[in-house]
Amino acid sequence: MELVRDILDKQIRGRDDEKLGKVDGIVLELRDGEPPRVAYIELGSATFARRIGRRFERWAVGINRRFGIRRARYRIAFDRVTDHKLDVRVDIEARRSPAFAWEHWVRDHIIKRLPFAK
Amino acid sequence: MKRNYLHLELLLGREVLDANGRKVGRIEEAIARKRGGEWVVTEFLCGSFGMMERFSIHHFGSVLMHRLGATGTTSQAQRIKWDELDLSDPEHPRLKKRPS
Amino acid sequence: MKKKDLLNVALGIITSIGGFLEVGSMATSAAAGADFRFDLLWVIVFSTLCLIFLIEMSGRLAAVSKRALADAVRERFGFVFTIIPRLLEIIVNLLVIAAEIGGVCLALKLITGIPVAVWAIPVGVVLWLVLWLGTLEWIENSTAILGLMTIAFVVAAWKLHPDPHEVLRGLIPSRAPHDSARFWFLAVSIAGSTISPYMFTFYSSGAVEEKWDEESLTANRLTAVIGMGFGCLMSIGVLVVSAMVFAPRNIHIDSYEQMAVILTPALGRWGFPLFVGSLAVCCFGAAVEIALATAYMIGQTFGWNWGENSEPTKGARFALTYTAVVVLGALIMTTGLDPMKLTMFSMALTAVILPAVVVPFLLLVNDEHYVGEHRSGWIGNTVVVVVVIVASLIAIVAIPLELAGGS
Repeated sequence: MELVRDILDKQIRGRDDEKLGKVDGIVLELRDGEPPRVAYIELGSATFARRIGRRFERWAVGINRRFGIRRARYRIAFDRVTDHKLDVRVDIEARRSPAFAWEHWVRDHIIKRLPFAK
Repeated sequence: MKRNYLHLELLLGREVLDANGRKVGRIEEAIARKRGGEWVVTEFLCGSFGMMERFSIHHFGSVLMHRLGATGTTSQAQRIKWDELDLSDPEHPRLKKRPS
Repeated sequence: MKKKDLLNVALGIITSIGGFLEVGSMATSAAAGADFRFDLLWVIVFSTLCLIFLIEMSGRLAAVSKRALADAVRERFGFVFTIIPRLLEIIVNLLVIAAEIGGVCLALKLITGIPVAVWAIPVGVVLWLVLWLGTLEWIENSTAILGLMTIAFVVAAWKLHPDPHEVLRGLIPSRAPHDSARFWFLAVSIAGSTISPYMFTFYSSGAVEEKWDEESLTANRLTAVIGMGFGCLMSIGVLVVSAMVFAPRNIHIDSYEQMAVILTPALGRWGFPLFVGSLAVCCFGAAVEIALATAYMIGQTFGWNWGENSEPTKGARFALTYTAVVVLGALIMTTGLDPMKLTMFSMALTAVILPAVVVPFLLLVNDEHYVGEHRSGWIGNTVVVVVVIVASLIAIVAIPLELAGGS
């Protein structure tokens, strides 16, 4: 598996087929005398903002806090990845995961308040 | 037990230096294989174009580059085994000294 | 080809014809015809040729890789690279949607006399309701079928009996006969109005929503070639009519009000209502496309649930994005900005950003990891690269010159 080509920046889908987000980061665990383990895929505004710069990461964390979103980044253990041919499929129910926090916030605070929302 | 984590996406494009401080290339890719039920990184790929490799140079970009006079470039990135790369400072990865 | 596929192709062609003309192509073609008669016809043709290749490529990418354009660009080139073309497109899309809303408002002003700035919010609300309540199919089909009234420009052009030799000479690339800055500014504005990035974002996203596959490739090719090919006849119609009506009277087009009589000499009392109807419908259809294209682009870049066919509560961030785009576009028009100037400027700016948007796209449709054996041929690659780079370079020079010239 080529981690950059096959995993990074790919679409993540949960077992409910919903889109969770993109693989914004890949976390490796460094171990003495052993090869680095692919530990997590990571997603969230702080993760992709960090790829631009530390200042953007701080802004992302601040904005999340301002709107009451607990986590600006979210990790999924790599052993929950079930497939990566087209999208990265994970054994998680997307709608129940913290990665969906912004989607729920926008739906509850904005979309549902607009006319003909259903 | 404190675990030591590293973000691969922040490692991409970082210049790798050898033990003598000479430039080896930029990290473009990490190859992972399944061993004993877990995925582990066995090799890193370093190339002259670095992140440009991600821009799909192979198909017609490398032809264009050679026609424009680029020399000494290869479409094959250099493979560095996991135990040859010192990632203790992820912002300055270095090749470990080979045992004599 | 099965009967159902033939019907889809026919519908796709109608969509392309009816959806081709919008405020940018109307304004730029009319201005070109008024100032330079047929001398800029070749720009419409070359731009359309480039567009045909790009539309076909975006449909092919979606059908084979099952990914829409913005999705594939992020995946292949990474997040940091993708920000640059996406940000540029967002800025340009906001200006263009404001211009399109301005076009609808102007059509309403021509009928009622009520100023553009007053119409901006009501038009924005109707636009939003169509997006909020409609499905992709309903939106595409209704605006495209209504857009067929732009055939009036082709009919008018034929009725005015232009000299065929002069028209054919206009298809050959030429230098500016006078006022070079204006000539080349109009040339890049025509290119920018024809080769609009939002069109291929919209097309590839629609193809993914409609679940195209490799069997759709023939239909895709036919739609791109015939649909865009016939669509460009509408732009040519506008230019020819303008050349026959305004150029002999030395009328320089710098407002839509001046354009209102463009069809009257050829079509009599039907001229004005057909012009107003064409302007309103085409601009409305384009505004819908731009709002959706921007939401598709942002949603695909961040991996959200996206799709016009799903309810707003199921794709909340996607729905919020197109809502925000419509609101911002409408607000821009409440400022009283001149719709014609905004249109011309945003079309030229589109030409400037084209390489940033098109080059990654081109790399994708030549990458066998995405399109398998269906890689692009050298002709398509060459046409696209040449047109896009030339248009961009000319735009970088021409825009400041035109601004300095006081237009």
